[in-house]
Amino acid sequence: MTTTSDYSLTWDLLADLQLLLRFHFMQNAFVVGTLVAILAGAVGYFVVLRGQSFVAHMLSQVGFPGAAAAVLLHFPPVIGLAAFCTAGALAVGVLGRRLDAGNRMESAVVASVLAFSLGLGLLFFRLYAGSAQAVYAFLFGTILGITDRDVAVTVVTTVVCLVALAAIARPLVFASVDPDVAEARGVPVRAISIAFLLVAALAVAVTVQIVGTLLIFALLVAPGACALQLTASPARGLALTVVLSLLFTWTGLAVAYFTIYPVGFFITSLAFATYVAIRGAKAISRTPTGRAHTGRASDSFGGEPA
Amino acid sequence: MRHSVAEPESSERAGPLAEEAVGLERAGVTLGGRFVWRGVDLTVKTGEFVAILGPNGAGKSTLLKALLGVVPLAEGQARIFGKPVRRGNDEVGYLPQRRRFDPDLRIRAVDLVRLGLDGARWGVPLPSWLAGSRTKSQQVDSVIHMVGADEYAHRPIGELSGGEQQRVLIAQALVTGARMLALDEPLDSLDLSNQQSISALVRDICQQQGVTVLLVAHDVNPILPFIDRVVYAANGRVVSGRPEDVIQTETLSRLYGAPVEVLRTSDGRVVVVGQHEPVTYHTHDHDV
Amino acid sequence: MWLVGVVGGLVGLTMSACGLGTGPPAPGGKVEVVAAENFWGSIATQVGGERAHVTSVIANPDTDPHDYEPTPADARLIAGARYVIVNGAGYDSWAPKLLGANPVSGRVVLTIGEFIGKKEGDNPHMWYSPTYIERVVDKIASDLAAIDSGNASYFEQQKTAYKTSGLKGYHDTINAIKTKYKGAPVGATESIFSYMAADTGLNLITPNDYLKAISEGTDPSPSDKATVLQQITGKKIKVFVFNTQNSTPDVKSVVDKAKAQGIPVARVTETLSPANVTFQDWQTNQLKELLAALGG
Repeated sequence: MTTTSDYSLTWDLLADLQLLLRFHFMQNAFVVGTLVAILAGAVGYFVVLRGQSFVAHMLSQVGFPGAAAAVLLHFPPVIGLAAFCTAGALAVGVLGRRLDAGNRMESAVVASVLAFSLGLGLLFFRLYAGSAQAVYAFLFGTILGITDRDVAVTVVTTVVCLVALAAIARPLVFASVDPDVAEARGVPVRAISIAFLLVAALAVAVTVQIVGTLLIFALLVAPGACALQLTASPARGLALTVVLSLLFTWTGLAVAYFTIYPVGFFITSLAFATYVAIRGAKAISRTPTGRAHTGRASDSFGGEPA
Repeated sequence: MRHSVAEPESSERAGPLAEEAVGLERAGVTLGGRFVWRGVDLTVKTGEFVAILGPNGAGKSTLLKALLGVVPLAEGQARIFGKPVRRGNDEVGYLPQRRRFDPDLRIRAVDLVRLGLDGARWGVPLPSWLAGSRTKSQQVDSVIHMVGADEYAHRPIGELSGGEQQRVLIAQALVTGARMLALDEPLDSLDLSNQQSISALVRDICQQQGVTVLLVAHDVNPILPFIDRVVYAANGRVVSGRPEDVIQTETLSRLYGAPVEVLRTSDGRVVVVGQHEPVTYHTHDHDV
Repeated sequence: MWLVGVVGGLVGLTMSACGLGTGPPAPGGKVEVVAAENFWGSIATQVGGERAHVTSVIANPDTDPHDYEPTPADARLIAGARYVIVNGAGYDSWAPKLLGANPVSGRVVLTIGEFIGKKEGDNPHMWYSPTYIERVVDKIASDLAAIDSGNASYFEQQKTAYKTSGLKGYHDTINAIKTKYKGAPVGATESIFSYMAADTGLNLITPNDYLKAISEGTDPSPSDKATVLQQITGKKIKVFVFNTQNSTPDVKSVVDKAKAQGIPVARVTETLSPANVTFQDWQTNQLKELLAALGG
């Protein structure tokens, strides 16, 4: 009979990989991990491009009061979760500034929505007679407890969200970087912004139950932040974000499997370490992707010549 | 004022009938229930370089936006190249009054220009090895070349200087093959040498490509040598006139409600002095 | 394109890995038993004897079962078990998830909550009820007999021995408390003590909502807190029972107030403490401390 000590990393990578995927729960973890990484990466590229990391944070947390409310009303928690995620997204989309994403007013709206929803969560907890544990599980997810049904749901969600993103990809990029001109050219900037937030809300609502709030937030922000440090091309940026997201997730799952430490820790640490390394490398090298070039200092509002 | 053959002031030219680029008839626009301007009759010919002047709040930007279809007319008619004004018209390129791009915005100049071409279409762009896309890439490259931005086209827009950004944005406005350029205070935040070079670029585009130019200016001096006509907005009205009529001390002082002097330099250049208001950082309420 | 290749590779590896199999061991060996918590595990060890190999997931006294997050090692353990014992009633919801992620044919799962009839929202601390313990011991024995029918009589013997001699000290102490102190008013920090209070005949007067809230890690209402403090300052309780493994600074301050009022504090823990002690020794020691606190 195999004991815990048999599950340690060896130099035989193929054997390690077979060991890793030996159990059904790990196979499920990898399948769902892959799907979530791709989805979070694709959505996350736009989140970082638009400067909406705070919105991503809000989306990853705003669902829980909804879940608690649903349980209180004897509905399945996922219904409440999805409802609150959607409502949060709509609130930000409607109450934020019409054209700019990720600005001060939006931050204030996001903070207010998040505070309000967490307050509601407090209320529902008080009213709910059951254990807090079930909702704690939402917070950290259950990457090791993914059923085949969870896999199916994730597949459907990923496909739906990716198709929706692909449909609005071009005008979304336009509205994200140049809203005034996009508006003038006929892009419905506000509608596209709201549509994007709704896609993000759906992606988060479904995946947060599975991978937890920490992980979905990390995957929504970190890979995009890394990728956008390295490239300013949308096509390459999007691809790189997805690649990094997959890398963090697979590596994190694999390393966690052979140790006693939690999966979330490894994924977020790897992501953070990568980001710091990229920033450090750029600061040291000061290559053309840095800021040194001609003429900048001269173009101040005072109009002093170079 | 142009030193080449002066344009006759009548609406006919010696030659084939020039096409009307802009036509406004009894036009009026409201903002918050009040008319910004009304009863406006205005004609601009194809290929003309028009400066739009006036004090702040007179509705210069609004005039551009009305012609772009972004702001609807409350009264009257507006036509671009003989057809009713509509939003998303590929024939008109637009440079809105803008802050600088966020220095941390991670998108390349060339991508920004490409967005001007097909950014408003749904879906994803086809990969470049498909024939249709190659033409698009070529279009982008050629317009970037036209504005002289080849060297820095692949750098992030946020890292470019003000003058470089303006060139890229002009390329973005022209990439659809626009026959008209609507520029809202494009020289505002540039230093003197950049003001001159951008003005010259716009003049070249106007002359060589036959592009009609509507340029809202805070300070008319950099473009004074190039303009064919002056449109000025003030006191709820918009009127046009020849540069030599409008660029006069009396006219301008009345127009701005402040002392403005038109001087001639020793080498015959005309300079307008005193029309600067204290430097303002334009706050952008996007609902205006 | 390459993404398809990678996913395809993963699928291929998975297929090859599947061949290794995770089914239960052949008959003739010990029954692999995994208990979610070590108090059930200890009982299973004694009923299963030499014919069962029992591992408990929550075995460290410092682990708080309420917000336990399973590790890959736990998931592997459960995936390889023939007989899994889970508390249920919302106490260890991580366990059904691990079971669901790795279905195994022939595996038997005992969810104590389901067996006793407690659901989420009810008091899940069934291992503090001597009545329920009796039923669970019977059930474990019969499950083991069903799994390993060749050793059915062995398990029957183990069960009888455990009930008559193993649990003797446990039952004796409970009866001692009931005989001398039936009806005595007591307080507790949380609902873990509720079943035991009923079976020992003690009158647990701490408000029910307070007991529930502390057990679940939520805040009790201010009025309930006030009632608890009044019961202490008015010396309305003879003993205050304190679950040392589920304590917050707030709970600690209430316990300190009880001590300051001269009310004896009897300590209990959530899981086996120390970890290597048997279920009956653990419970009996606590009950003896309670008896002494009541006055001997």
